[in-house]
Amino acid sequence: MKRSRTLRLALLAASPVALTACGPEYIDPPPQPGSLEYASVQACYDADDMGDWECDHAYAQARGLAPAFASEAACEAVYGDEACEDFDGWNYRFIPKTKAFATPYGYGTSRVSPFGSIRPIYGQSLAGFDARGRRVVEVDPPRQEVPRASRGGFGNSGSSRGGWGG
Amino acid sequence: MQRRPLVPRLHWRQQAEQHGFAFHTIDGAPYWDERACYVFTLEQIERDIEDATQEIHAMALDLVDAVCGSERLMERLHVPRDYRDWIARSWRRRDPHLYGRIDLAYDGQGPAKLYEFNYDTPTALFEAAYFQWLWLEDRIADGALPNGADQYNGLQEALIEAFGAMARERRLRTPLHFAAHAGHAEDGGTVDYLRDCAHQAGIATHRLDVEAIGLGDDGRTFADDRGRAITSLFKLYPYEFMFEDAFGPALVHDAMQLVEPPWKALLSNKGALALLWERHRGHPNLLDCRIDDAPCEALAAGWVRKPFFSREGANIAAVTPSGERLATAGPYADGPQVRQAWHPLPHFDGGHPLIGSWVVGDRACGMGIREDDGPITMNTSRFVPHAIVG
Repeated sequence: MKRSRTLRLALLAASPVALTACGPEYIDPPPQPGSLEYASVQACYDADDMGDWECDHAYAQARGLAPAFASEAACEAVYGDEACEDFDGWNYRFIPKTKAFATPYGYGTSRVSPFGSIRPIYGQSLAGFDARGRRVVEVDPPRQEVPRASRGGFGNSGSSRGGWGG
Repeated sequence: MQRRPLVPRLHWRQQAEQHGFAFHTIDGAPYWDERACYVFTLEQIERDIEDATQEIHAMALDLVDAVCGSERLMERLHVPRDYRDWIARSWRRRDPHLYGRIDLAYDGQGPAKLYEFNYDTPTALFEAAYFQWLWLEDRIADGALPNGADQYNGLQEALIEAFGAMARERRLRTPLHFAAHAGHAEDGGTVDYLRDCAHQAGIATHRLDVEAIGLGDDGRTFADDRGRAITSLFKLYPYEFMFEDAFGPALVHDAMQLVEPPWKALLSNKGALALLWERHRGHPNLLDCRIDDAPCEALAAGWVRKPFFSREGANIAAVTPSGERLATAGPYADGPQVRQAWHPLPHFDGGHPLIGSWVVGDRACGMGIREDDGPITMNTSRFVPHAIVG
């Protein structure tokens, strides 16, 4: 295929949209600043941001937050063929397959970021994850203030010429 | 390659507005135009567009390397003296770059010919990367295009991947500010879209107008509209204008990282087309092009004269091989010029398509087509989607 498999817009669209080539429509919230995201539990173990126990615990919590359906057919009607799994082997709760998950910065320590939260990632492509399956979603870091700035020193040369793009 | 008429989707305007495509109609005239599409074979795309683009991009980087090592070539490109070392430093550090568009004339047969690079401030990105993709999915679903139809468009995945790679490799300072000209819908839309891609790659961002950028009293620290330091800036604002602006000289302290990086300034300059021809004379994807030493003399038949820095088809003069004269108006009349061999765009049922072939990071990965009624593509052109069938 010569085209992107999945597209979504996090900020531009009127409401969050995510689309998959020739497939179902997934709605996934945009990445939350202050999160560490992992493509799998193994990626979480490998990253060593937290202990293995914390990885397991965060993953289990994230799966628990995935949308649940009473039957596999009902889940597949939303997420597509083969896209769902039995939640716990008891055959009464089905969720979209969840491998990837997010945790807040500092999860498992006494300094957990107030920004991120644990959540499942089921509908999105793993674009932006590094080769080891980890992605940092930054919080606006504290920044240097520039007290006495003068303005208007950019933009004058082009104003008579309409758009600047080409 | 064919131009196939289609009945537009009934809901396309509503879809455009829902997805933030504010400039689908510009000054009352349609810009997004799905009354037709261009259809290519996979072989045409891979051999004639993708491979050619990859090769042209490699020649372009090789040229940047040569110019950054040569005061004489900097002079021939009219790069302002105060910025030459700064540009060369950015190349020696290999400051990361995001994207560029290569404009090609192509009629379905024979090699595509390079018209020009848009390597500093390319637009027409959202419609190529995103809205064109939605169109294809809808047209396969409604049966207007066959099931196996595809599109040469891995743009959005490549953009998110490129932003992600820059952040991961710590080659980008964050938060990344995004700036465009206030009140220009198309430029603003392009920047908003790129910011969305950066956000999806996990990068903290802030959007502002170019005019709102401030400079601290140390003469080197740039400030955003909230009075905070800008350490990295994506700017949809050309280098040649920055160089003329009051704050331009402060850039050389490198307190603010720029995307596209300074070395890209060398390729947004049409003099680069002439240097490329000198280095690769006769290359099948290049047109004969020379720096015009006598810009006041009448142009000979079979040549096109373009200013080094014109955009959107402005200030172009041409004399066809049969002696017909063509010219477009514009604000870029002053300054150095190149002469390029006349090589008109093909016509397909009255449309003159210009291929915009995209490079993200260093990879050719997508295409958008703009069509004009006349042979020179201007800012009045329409975006016409494409599909790959067979």
